[in-house]
Amino acid sequence: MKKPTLFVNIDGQQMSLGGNPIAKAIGAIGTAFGAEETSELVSGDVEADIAVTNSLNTALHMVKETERTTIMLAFFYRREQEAAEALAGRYPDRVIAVPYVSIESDGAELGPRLQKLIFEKIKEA
Amino acid sequence: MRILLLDDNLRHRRAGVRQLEALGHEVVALCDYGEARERAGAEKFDVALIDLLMPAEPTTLGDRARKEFIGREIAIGFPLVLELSRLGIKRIAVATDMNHHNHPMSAVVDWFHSVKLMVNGAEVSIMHAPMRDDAKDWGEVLWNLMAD
Repeated sequence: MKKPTLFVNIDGQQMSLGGNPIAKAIGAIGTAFGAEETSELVSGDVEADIAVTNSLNTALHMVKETERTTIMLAFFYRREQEAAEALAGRYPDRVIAVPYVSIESDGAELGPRLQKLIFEKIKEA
Repeated sequence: MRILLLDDNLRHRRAGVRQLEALGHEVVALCDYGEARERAGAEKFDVALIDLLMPAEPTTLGDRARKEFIGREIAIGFPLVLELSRLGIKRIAVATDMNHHNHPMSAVVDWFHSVKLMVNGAEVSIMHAPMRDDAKDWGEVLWNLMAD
């Protein structure tokens, strides 16, 4: 069974003390649910199956750099939500806007949504 | 020649790199117009081949404008002609694959059919992109731009 590949790009990822803890946590969640973390979005003609970012600009760049990668755009603040959802609405087959956390745990936040997406990618493989 | 190739579509960029490198040119292929502007200001390019319609980038947009415009296709090719020519690129072609029945700015491209413009001292062609194998034929776009 081929593991789906996961690329994580979170603002401040190169910060000191061993990297961004959020990026590391997302990578750990993905790996725990069966994905394989990759350090490159695109390697030759091979694209990551899933990419996670918290940057609107990076998500848009990822849409243009790839043809098949599913991009999860994570947001924390409500003010980021509308723009993230607007971008996801313009690329419904490519971009998923997800909150890092939600008050009502309905499976739509980043962790459960990433898990679901990894399972979907495993089924497709 | 050193060519700046700007297109948001990966298939068109890959085709352009393949076609233009086969013709012996050096190609810098980009997908972000903001980056293209920065590179054009910092490096020397003989030619720019650019898409007309590209997704709006966040740039200086505030929250409301981001919601309204981010990722929406805008006719950035036209202001890019002004900017890239101002930055010193002497030959510029704008090529769209959008059907002129499907977008008002693509319909405007009809105005410039077989017309060579001079903008800020640069030769400019604006055209509907010739297509080959479901991708833009950037080699032919270049040939049209260079033709007298």
